[in-house]
Amino acid sequence: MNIIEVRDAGLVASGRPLLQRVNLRVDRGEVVALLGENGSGKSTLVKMILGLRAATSGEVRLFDTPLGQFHQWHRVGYVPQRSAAASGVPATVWEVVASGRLSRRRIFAPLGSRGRSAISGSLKSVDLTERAHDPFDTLSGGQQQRALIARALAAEPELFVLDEPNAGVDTANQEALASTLEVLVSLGATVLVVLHELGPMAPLVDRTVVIHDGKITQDGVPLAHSHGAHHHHAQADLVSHVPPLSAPLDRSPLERGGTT
Amino acid sequence: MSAFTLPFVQLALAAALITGIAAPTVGTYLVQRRMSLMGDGIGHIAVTGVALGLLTGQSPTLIAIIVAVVGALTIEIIRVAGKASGDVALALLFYGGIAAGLVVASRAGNGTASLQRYLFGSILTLTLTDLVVTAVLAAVVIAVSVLLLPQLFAVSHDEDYARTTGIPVRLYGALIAVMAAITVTVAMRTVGLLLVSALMVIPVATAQQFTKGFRTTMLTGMAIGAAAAVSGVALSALIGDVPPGAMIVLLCLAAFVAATPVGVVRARRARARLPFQPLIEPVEHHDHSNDHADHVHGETCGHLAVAHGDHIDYVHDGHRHAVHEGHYDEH
Repeated sequence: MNIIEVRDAGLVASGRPLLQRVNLRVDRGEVVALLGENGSGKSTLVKMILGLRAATSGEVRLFDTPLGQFHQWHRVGYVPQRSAAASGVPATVWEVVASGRLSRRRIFAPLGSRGRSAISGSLKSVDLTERAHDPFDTLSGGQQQRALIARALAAEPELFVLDEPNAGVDTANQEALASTLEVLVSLGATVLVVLHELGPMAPLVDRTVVIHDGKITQDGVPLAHSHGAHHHHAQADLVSHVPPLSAPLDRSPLERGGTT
Repeated sequence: MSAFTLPFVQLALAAALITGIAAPTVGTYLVQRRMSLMGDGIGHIAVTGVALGLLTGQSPTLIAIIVAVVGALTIEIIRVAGKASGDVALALLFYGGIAAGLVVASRAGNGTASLQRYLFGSILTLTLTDLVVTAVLAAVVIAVSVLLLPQLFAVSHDEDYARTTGIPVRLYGALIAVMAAITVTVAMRTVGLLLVSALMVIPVATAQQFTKGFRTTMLTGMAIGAAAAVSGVALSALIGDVPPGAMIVLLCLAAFVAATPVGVVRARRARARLPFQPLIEPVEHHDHSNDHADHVHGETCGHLAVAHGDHIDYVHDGHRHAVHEGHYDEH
C-alpha cells in the first residue's frame, strides 16, 4: 500500500515554480529521508503532501486516497519545524501535546480516559513526563522538538512527517530523537523526514530522496549505505565543536594542533 | 454606601461583571494569535455601525453588531491572505470606520452627542433590556470560548498543525473574529469603543505573568477582568463624576503593574532552570581550566559570548570557556 503517493506534482507560487514534476512514493513501514539545501523545496513538498499548500498540477494521495477526499487525519502525525509554534499566551507542554488528540476528538466531546492515557503515554515516550505542566516556552530546543513529536504521537498515527527535527538541536538530543523514531519504526510506523544531513538518523533510513531546485534529483538507498561513507558523520562531535565563525579572537582548529 | 442601592448603579455593576468576564475570554485567543489590537480595530469599525443606527433610528447596538461582524470577518480574510500590504489594508479599514462614523453621526440630528455615549461608554444609563441583551450575548461568547477551547487553542497556537488534524481551521478563525466583534459591541456600553480592547487584552497580559498554561491564563484573565470592571464602576459611583469605563481600564493597568514584579522574578527563575550542563561529556575537550579561577564569565565580562548547544562559551585568550560545576571547561 502506498502511504504517500505524489504523481507528477508541481507547485507554482506567484509565477515562480517551487516544485516541478515531483514523483514520490512511500510504502508502508518505510523510512524515507528527504534531503536538500535550504530553499530546495523540501519543506514545500512536505507541506504539499499534507495539504498545507495546494499542488498546482499533478496529484497527491495519502493512504490511497486523493488528498481532497482524505479525512482520516488521525493516521497522520505532523511534526513541524519548531519555530512555527511560537505564541503570545503561555501554554503547558501537556496542553500542546493534547492538541494532538483533536483528530480523534468529536466537537464538544471531553478528552476521555483513552485520550488522557494517549497523552501521558506520548509524554513518557519522549521523556517529558516531569515537564508536562511547565510552559512550553521554557523548554530547551531539543525538548521542544520532543514535545512536538509527542503531540504527533498523541493521535496514535501510522505515518509520521517530520520537518527538520534536528534543526537547532544539539547532538545528544539528536540521538535521543533518533532512538525515539527507532522505537516508532519498530512498531510499524511509516516515516517521511526532512533532514539537512542524515546525522544520527542514518541507520534508520531505508531510502534517501534528494531534492534540488524543486526537482527530485536522486531517489534510492542512502548514500551512507551504498559506499560506506559513514565517516562523514562519525566525526560529527568534533565538527560541532569548531566555532561556526572564524572569529578574530579564535585560532583555527589546525593552528591549535587539533586540541579543539 | 447609599449609591449602591440605586437601581441604575446595580444594573451597571451587573453589566460590568458580565463584560468583565466575557472580554478576556476572547482576548486570550487574540493575544495568542498576536492580534491584540484587533479589538481596537473592530471598535473603530463599529463606530460606523453605531452612527448608522443613530441615523436610521434603528438600535445602534444591533447595527453595530452587524457592522462589527462584517469588519471582523474582513480583518480575518486579510490576515489569512497574509499579504505584506495587509497591515496597510487594516489601517485603511480602521480609520475609514471611525471617520465614516463621525460623518454619518453628524447627519443624525443629535448624533455626535449620542455617539459620545458609545465612544466612551455609558454604563450608568443602561436599561434592564440592555442588561438582558448584554447578558445573553456575553453568555454565548463565554460558552463558545470555554467549550471549544481545545479547537480554538490549537488554531491559535499552531495553525498549520491544526489543519493536519483535520479540523476546519478557517471556520474556527472566523468564529474567533465573530466572537471578538460581539464582545466589542457588548462592552462598548461599559467601557466605550475606544477602550474596549483594553478590557480584552490587559487582564490576559496581567494573568500570563504568573500563569503557566493557556486555560489557567484564560480563567485568571476572566477573574481579573471581572474584578477590575466591578470595582471600576463601584469606585466611580463612590467618587462621583468619574467616567467608569476609564476607571475600569486604569484598574486593569494597575493590576498589570502590580503583577509585573511577579513576572520578572518568574522569568529569571525560568532562565535559571534552563538546562545548562553539557549533556555529552566531550572527553577529548574536557581539559579543566584552572588558570583563570579568579575571573567569572558573565554578560558583562567583556569576553565574546558564543552560543554552543545548550550553554554559552566565552572566548578567552584564543580558546573557549564553558562553565561547568564551578570551573571552566575548554571547549
